[in-house]
Amino acid sequence: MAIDENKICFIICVNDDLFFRECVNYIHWLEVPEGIEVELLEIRDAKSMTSGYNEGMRSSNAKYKVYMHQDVFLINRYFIYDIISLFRFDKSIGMIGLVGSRKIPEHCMMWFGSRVVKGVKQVSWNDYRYKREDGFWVVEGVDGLLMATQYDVPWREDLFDGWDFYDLSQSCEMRKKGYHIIVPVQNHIWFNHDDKIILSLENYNKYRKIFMKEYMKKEE
Amino acid sequence: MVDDKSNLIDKIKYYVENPEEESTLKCIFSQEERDILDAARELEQLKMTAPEEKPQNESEEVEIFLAGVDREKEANLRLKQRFMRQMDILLGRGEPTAWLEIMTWYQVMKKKGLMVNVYWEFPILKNMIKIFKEEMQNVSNKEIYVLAIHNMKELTEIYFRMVFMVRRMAYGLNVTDEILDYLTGRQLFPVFLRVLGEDNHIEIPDKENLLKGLSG
Repeated sequence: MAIDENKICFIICVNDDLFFRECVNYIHWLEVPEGIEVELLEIRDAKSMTSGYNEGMRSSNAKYKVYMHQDVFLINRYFIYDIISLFRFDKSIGMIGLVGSRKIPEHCMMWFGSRVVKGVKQVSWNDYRYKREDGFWVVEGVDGLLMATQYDVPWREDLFDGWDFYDLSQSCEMRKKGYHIIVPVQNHIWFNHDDKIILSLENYNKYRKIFMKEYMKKEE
Repeated sequence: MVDDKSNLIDKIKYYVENPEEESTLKCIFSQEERDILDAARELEQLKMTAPEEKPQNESEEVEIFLAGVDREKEANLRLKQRFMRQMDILLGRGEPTAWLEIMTWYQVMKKKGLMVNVYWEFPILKNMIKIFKEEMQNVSNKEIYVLAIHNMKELTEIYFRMVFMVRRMAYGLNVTDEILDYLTGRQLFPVFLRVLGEDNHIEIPDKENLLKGLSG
């Protein structure tokens, strides 16, 4: 199917209707640029994040795709304007995230290293409007809470068949294709994330080792 | 003398002091309570026998941390499942005495350093316990609304529904009248707002002023 340059698709793996409905409330609240069509795909019963996202990617002809968690609430009402503006400004940008690591640490545990999201200016939510002059960071990896793309690159469901490291893997796959990954400097944060505070790490180490072997050339 | 009619704190104290007295423990604890204590003991023993390693750098620190997670994950899950089952039983009773037991179990886990910093349900349970305590202290309350919560799924859902409502108010999103009536018409709401105000994990713009305005 031909790619539609004037379409954006939100792709969300869903297993909690309470959070998903709230997430969709915020998506419906977003300002939509004239001529842009907004699509929403909910993926249920996904075997893994990568397989769910691949299913979503193949199901939509939108040029701009936003892969996001069901517990992320977009409070930047001009989110669609801002990411399309950044993508169109620089075609070498393959992916935009909202939290990222300028350098993936050697141990690959992103939140153990330093991450970028907030700008140094403190702007209140009512007064905030992102401008391209605010800038962006070029990063090696972004957090899976939200990953927006303008190019379709298959997710590695062959390697990451669970719920960890799909984000860093996809960041690396994008970079392998020669694209940049960025995080906009957010002088007011663009989102709220009720990520249930404490992460489940049950299979984390297993996928971390797979990631290290595939991308960091390091065997455990 | 401790028996099955003694309060939970005394029973647990007895268990800690006399872990080998299997037959007495069988009489004073329910099967579900014993299951929790057995799982807690298993996890504590795992932690005690963990190799002592001092990391030389951040990478080693991560390796040691994750090795610990791997070693303990099954025992952690087992304890969590048993704990949550007991919470469902207690919540299902809908009585203040049940909530006192919930508080006791939470404190036991917290004191032992088990689970409360591992699973997401615990900070919410902690906040709902705070709400229960506030409601109990308010003698003008004819009803204690948390008693209407039947299980952990409902408990976490009602918590998030209220967080979502307050946040929508802050951002000026549409809040349906039905939900607003549900929340603000109940005496739970000002108590909830107070507890929410103290929770630094919940992001709401201009939280302090909004909560003051809603409580006023």
